[in-house]
Amino acid sequence: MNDFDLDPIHELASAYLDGELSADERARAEASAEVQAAVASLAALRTALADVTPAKDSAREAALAAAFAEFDSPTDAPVVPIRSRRRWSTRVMTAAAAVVLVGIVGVGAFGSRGGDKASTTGGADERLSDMATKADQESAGGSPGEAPPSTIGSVFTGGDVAVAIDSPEDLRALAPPTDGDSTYSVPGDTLVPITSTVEMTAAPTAMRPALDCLTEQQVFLADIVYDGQYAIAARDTGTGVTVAIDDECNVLASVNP
Amino acid sequence: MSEGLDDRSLVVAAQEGSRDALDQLFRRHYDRVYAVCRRITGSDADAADAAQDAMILMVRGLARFDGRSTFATWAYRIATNASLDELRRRKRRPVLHGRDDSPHAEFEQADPAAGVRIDGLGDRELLDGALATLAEEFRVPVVLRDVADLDYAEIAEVLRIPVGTVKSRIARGRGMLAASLSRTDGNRNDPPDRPTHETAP
Repeated sequence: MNDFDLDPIHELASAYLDGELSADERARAEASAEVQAAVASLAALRTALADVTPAKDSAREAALAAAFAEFDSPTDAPVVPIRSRRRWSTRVMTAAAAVVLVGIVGVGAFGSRGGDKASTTGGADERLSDMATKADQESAGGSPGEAPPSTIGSVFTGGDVAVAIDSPEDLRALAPPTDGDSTYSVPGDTLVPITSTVEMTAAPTAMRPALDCLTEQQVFLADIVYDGQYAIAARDTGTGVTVAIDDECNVLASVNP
Repeated sequence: MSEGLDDRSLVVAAQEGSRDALDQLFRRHYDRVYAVCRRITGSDADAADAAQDAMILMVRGLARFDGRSTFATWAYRIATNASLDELRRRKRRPVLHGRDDSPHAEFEQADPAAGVRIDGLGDRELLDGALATLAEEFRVPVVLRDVADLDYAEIAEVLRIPVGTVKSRIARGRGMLAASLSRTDGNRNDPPDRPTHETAP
């Protein structure tokens, strides 16, 4: 895949630095001045790599605040709003209508987050936008012309959602019903009526790399977070099998209809 | 009080609802999580966003964390994925040395016996630039080893690749970084009007 030829001395030095050699290999490495010179070079490289300027205090506190907001307000809602990850073209919005719909309906069905009386993404966004404004004001700005650092407000952007999936059964619940009723079931066995027809189309050529993993028979259902990993849910229109696939085409979960 | 408890104990306490334990746990690991994100994404802003996303995902997944791996390994896997997602969101694709067929894409082999100094290490911008040119498949293992201090087995678990592949990719990644830094540092001394690989359109 990469045409960089790895020098045997360099390879030995790299493994020696990491303590990943057998006793014999280690003895050989220690007896070689060339290997030891390479080890010293790589050690210097490691020191430089590890020397990362810590995050600004405001960024750290914003991250912790966001984490605690999630911790303090555990929700039953399967929908987890995340920062916008794509530009919503008309074609993408049409093809991904199910994702947005499940997100909006899910939030409405399962109530508010964090005591916010406005149990809609709009209310949550307003609160988080205020936090983002405050965080932006507190953090040092970037160079002129740069956008202010993304903080909490950019994490939660209404309208672009992923579903938190805890089990293969939850994955199955994302699949559209086969009885023709225009309803989607969501985790928790709450049937939520929808008002618009959702067309099951082929996976759009959007930015999610996992979409490239789908076969012609599979259709994209939703962006999901499965076991802490971003993934997509897709359904085989022939077999009805629903899968969770990550961006490297690994099938994280699979469930029969 | 959760002061001084190890990660495992803090995780258990946090899973049982202890906010203080979660605070201890996250504050203990945030800097290194951020450092991993910083080295993978290449920018402070992207790293902050990725680290924040990672923290949120850790909270959401905390109940399912079963302790088979260390908390750090689990956290860095989430941070790695969040960082890679951040890169894809921002459409920041590094130049894939080795995949470029242009005549300027020759990779100078670093001579491991040439001395103990790799040029350019003292320049943070050069290091950022060199990392940015490294393909993700090499950059991520190197970062997890040299920044997160994970061993090969832990990296293999995080990336879900064989240990042998981890070893090879780390060695190659380091080699390419060293070569890139040495080449870039040499080019810095060129007259500004002489085209270089880095400035070629």
